[in-house]
Amino acid sequence: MNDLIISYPPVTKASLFLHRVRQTLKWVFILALVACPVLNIITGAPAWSVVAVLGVFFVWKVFLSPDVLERGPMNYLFTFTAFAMIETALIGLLLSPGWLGFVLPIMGFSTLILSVLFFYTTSKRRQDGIIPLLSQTIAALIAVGVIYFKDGELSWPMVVLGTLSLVLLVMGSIAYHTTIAREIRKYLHTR
Amino acid sequence: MSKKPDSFTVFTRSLSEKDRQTVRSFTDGWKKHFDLPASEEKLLLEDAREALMALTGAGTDLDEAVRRLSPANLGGFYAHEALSWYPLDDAAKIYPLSLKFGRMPIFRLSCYLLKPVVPQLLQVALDFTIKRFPSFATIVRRGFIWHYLDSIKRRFSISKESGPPCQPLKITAAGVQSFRVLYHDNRISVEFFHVLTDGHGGMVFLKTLVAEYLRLTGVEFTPSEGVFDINEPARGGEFSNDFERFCPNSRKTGGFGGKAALQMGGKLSRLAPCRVCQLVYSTDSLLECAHNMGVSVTALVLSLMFHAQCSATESREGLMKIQVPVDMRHHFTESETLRNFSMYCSIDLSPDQVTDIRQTALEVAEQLKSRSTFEEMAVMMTTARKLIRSLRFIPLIAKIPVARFLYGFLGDSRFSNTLSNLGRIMMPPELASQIAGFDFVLGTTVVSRAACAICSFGGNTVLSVSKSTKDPSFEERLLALSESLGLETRVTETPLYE
Repeated sequence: MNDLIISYPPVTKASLFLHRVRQTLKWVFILALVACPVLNIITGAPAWSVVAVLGVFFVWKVFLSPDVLERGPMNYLFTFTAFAMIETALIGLLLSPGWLGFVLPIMGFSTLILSVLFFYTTSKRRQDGIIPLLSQTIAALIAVGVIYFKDGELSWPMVVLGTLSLVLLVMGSIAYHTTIAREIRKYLHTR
Repeated sequence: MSKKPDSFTVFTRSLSEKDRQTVRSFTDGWKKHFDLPASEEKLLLEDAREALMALTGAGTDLDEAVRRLSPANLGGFYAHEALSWYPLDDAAKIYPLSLKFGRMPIFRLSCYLLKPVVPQLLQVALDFTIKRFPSFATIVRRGFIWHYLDSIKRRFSISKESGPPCQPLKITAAGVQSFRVLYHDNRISVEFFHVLTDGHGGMVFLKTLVAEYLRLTGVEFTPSEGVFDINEPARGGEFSNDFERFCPNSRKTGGFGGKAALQMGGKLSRLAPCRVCQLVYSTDSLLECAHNMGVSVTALVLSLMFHAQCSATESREGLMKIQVPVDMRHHFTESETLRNFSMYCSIDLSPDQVTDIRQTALEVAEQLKSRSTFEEMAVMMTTARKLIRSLRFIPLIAKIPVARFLYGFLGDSRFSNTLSNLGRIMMPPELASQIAGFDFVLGTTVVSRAACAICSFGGNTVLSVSKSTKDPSFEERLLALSESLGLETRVTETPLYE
């Protein structure tokens, strides 16, 4: 038995602040998830609790239990704007109808512009932003297509959204076709 | 006011014109091997300069230092675009699915040198070594159906050890590394996210890194005993999914079910592992004791663990189950993969069966023999393969919640403990004389209060017990039992991290 000396560095006090915040808020949020629908049913008001519950879920998911993988700026932007649009859609559908078809596409093309800016400025590796940007662009095109076939006409924000996403798709396909093909192959692999 | 010259400028000013020319062509040689963002290139160049100063400062001749740090060892790794990617192997597929904030399957392999580690040389050793392990120079990314490993080109960094072993890696951002290289006194440790590799692959990486470090310090050696030549290209078989390649397609399926195991007592800590306790045995006395009982070292240690576990729980209901990983390379000797290629078997005893250490060891040896056979492993491999094939069209978004539930509460609770034995670690003789030992530490799981790992080198066998409860009764009993068997044992432990 030779002299194998095993030693460890001195203790550095672990910060439990986030852990305690999470533990406390977990119970507050669980309470809210139960209380909101109950109050909503008792008062008989429009379904505001759906919007509230989704908000609670979002705060938990994004700030207190975030994804461990791929939490880059593009993914944050994607999650944040997806949530904002879903919340807006719910408010428009459940609480205050009439303006949704105008506001949602404005949010959509603003998001696309922001995503392009993020794509060129924040990503260390350009290919990391390809799939989120491509997903947003295709989702926008599908949304515009669905609205057009459903209503037979498009508001100006919808036209802007459709044009912008089409331009992005064409330009992106020309500039990054090799990277896009490679990223899609990786993204959709089944092995 | 003029700017104070940096240490490298001061160093070069102290040299003769001929030596300055040598240093200039040395740094120019390094620069030729990069095509990275400027910040990364700056760091790599800084590594070369720091290492050169460290070597010459320690009395090495400049020409010799330049030879050891030759940029030819960088190869094309930092100049080529990162194009390769790797689907996860069958065993790794569950890990990213079950990831939760603050929880990650990590294990640590460490090598203890005879002299304190020189960080500047260790950093360059890593700069040189990483190109030989392309599947380690990767980041886990999310696909639509499965995660995958995507290669990254960057300077992989070492860091000084400061916190508890086996803490989760921050792999959230793009381009970060999925393993960490740490140093403390005379110890070099590598902590791996299990998705990259298993103990075998991790040990090959550590041994190659240590060998390269020792070469930089002036030890010449011939690569052997699982130490790779860093300047040879990686072979395709090293990153193959050998579960798929060697799947025996057994007719029977099963092997993954089972009831929850009897767990040790003690409140689960917030930080896991909250403590690592290491028992250093004399390999000779451990072998002698095992042979006297007519069992292997693994069976003897398992027997001790069952007895110690009985002292760490008050419940007598149910079975104590210890998970024992089985390296499938023993069954498929042609495998050369560095990815995961291990299955496991479960050794089960009820508290009533745990009476006498010798009897327990014989029972454990019997179970080990019958449950780690090729036939048993073939059944598990086939089941896993079929499961993965059946899930290949289900999107991740649907798989993740199910996997988290199954892994956290059904999978993990099936075992009370783990014992992973890496066996005897071999090094080329020129290097072995510079090394005091190795150890192997497992991260803890969700419910089990302990996870044990063992490996031997030279005259020592180190049993590492990672704890996720501060209750010390398990390791205290383990030590008392070891001493009662006459085993020479020394104990070290980390501080309690809370």
